[in-house]
Amino acid sequence: MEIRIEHLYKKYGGQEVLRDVSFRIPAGMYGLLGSNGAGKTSFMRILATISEPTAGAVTINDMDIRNKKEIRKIVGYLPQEFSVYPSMKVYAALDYLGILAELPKAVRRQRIDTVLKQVNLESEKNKKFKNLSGGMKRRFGIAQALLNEPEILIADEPTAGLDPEERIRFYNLFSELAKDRIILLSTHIAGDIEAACSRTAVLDHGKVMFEGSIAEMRRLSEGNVYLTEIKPGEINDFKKKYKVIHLQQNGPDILCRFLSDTIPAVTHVLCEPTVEDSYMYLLKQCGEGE
Amino acid sequence: MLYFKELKRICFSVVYGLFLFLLVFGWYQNFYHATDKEILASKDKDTSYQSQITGGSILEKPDKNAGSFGRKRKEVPDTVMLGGTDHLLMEYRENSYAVYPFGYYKEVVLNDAEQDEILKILCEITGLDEENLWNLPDDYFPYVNGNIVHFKEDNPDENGTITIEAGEKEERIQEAEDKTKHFVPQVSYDRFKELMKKAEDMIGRGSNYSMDMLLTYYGQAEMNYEEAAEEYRKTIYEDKVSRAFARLFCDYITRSLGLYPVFVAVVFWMKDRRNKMNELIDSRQFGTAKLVMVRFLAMLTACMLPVFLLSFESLLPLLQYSSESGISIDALAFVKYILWWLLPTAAVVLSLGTFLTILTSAPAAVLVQAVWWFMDTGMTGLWGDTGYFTLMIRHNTLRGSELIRQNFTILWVNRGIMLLFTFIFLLLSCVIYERKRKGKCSHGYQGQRYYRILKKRFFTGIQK
Repeated sequence: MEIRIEHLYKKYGGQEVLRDVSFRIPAGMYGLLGSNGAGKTSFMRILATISEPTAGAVTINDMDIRNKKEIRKIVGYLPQEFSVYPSMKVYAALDYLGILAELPKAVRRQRIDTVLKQVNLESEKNKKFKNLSGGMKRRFGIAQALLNEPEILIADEPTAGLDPEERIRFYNLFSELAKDRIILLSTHIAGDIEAACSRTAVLDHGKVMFEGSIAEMRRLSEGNVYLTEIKPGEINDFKKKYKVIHLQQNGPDILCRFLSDTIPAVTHVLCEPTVEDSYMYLLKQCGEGE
Repeated sequence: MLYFKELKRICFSVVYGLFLFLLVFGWYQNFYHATDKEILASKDKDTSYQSQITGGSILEKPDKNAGSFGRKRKEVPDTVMLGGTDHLLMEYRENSYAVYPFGYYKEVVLNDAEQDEILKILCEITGLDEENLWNLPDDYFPYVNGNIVHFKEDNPDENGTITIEAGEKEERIQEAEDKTKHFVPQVSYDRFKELMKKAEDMIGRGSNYSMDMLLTYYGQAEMNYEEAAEEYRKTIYEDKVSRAFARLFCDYITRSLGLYPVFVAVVFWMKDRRNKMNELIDSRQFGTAKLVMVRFLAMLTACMLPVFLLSFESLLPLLQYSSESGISIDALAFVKYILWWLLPTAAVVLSLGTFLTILTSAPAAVLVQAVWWFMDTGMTGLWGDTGYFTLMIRHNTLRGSELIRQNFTILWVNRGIMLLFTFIFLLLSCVIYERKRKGKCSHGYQGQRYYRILKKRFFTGIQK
């Protein structure tokens, strides 16, 4: 089970949103990290067969992405922004989407019951979609993506707008589902990738900046992440010198986590890098490169 | 399975409720009770659908001793010339000519040179000079002349009562008269037609002087007993009673089906995007052509179902009439007429709505269909005026089955063309939708953008 992307390009009008993207996605949880506008959604839409590459090749289990009918059978897609006809009930909406997935009636019924259980929406099946909470709607999104028992589940920003508890529940669910399939999820929150995925790719302005395991990602910024304490009045000057990852109030002072390629000229502690540190480090490198 | 799901979704939508309301309202205003009325009129218990006088039903066998047997369409040259000249003189005197380019009134004022030309036409037809034409005796034209009513100096009288002397015209035409006292045409009918054509060219398209209009207003004559008996025979034996009612029913319903289904199609297709459901649908393996066809058929069913149900209001009394009178009727007349007369109209409107909504992702189809509907309404006569591209076939009478027979070929070609258009629109819908499913077509985004801009400007205008 593998998704293979080779020299993928995507243009909208004259604007290039994906540039020479090449990597492989193996089974398990795979994270796609990038800021807004990095090209994550365009990439995922191509994998979900609702957008076509301008150039390059994508194969899913050795099947060309242009073989839409077959690809759609094995792919489940949760778009970033989606909804359902507001007055449709949860069960009816899944049934409707099940018909569009060409599932026979008996299989559809059995699958709907299973996915409702999986996403813990059984008790809400007779509720109208418009009456679901934000978290329930996202869970519905997962349920509809799982209807056809996909080998590949593509989830575009699945936890956007969810509270921390719901987010954890989501990643736990994804981890369970990832046992026998590829789960590709995109996010701009590095912590989510670190918590849930085994591998990741970082996209920036349509280009792949990094592709590898989480451990490899962490190692990117090894020796470049520092912690220091500064006075509130020094923040602006400090930001001019160093790439600040985050600031935290610590009594009268401010605890500052930052990146530096050289040994900083302030009192500091060298830190163990996280995925977020490496992500910021990559973005800094990109910024400098440009 | 998807068909029933879509049908249910349409039937429970607000826009469909609105469609039903407009359809039933139009039917209620125009056709409701027409059958009962005609049956009662045949028993002299009510007025006929097409008359204000008790009796006169198409179901009533003509009585040899009756004074009048009703009127029928007939091209009598003298009557047509009398009416056309009267009308032209009236409009010439006012220099105000009515034209109906798309069925809607517009006044035309001619310049001096054109007025002189009209005067020459009038002089040639009447054999009178300008001075005579301005000083005609009151009874030069009959008081009732087709759609023109002339009032005498003492009419209305002091009490305000208007007296109309009917039946005068025919007597006058038959008399050889003094051309200065009564209208006596001085040209042949063919020359008259040429002169009317000349007048229409000057006044403009849709004037009162096209042969169609002249025949509509003045192409009628009193029937004699034999003709009335023949009409009755046609109604009972050729039309099998119910076909006459089915035609009138279709005539009224077609005006609703020529426009309202477009709202159903537009709202239905726009729902996917408005509810952000399009990506969930597009990423599934269900075929595009299958989806477009199933949805189209569901919409067509939803639009035609109430039409079939409404026809029972006419069919049931006719069945009862048949059992009471022993006259056999065609029980399937409504079904047959609805299928060949109305279904292609509804189909082409729905398919156009489908195509333009998929193409633009905006309600552009409403505007296009409204324009088509207005033009078609304006350009199509009330009966016997079906062209190859007529959207709504009209036959606003219970009689005139011969018109249907005469135009049989053109009617079938017309319906065929409408079905061909339907097929083309659906085919194009599939192609565009398939491209959109692949993210290849950006017309929709442009369409939506322009729609949003227009909508914003419209509402800003209202607020101001």
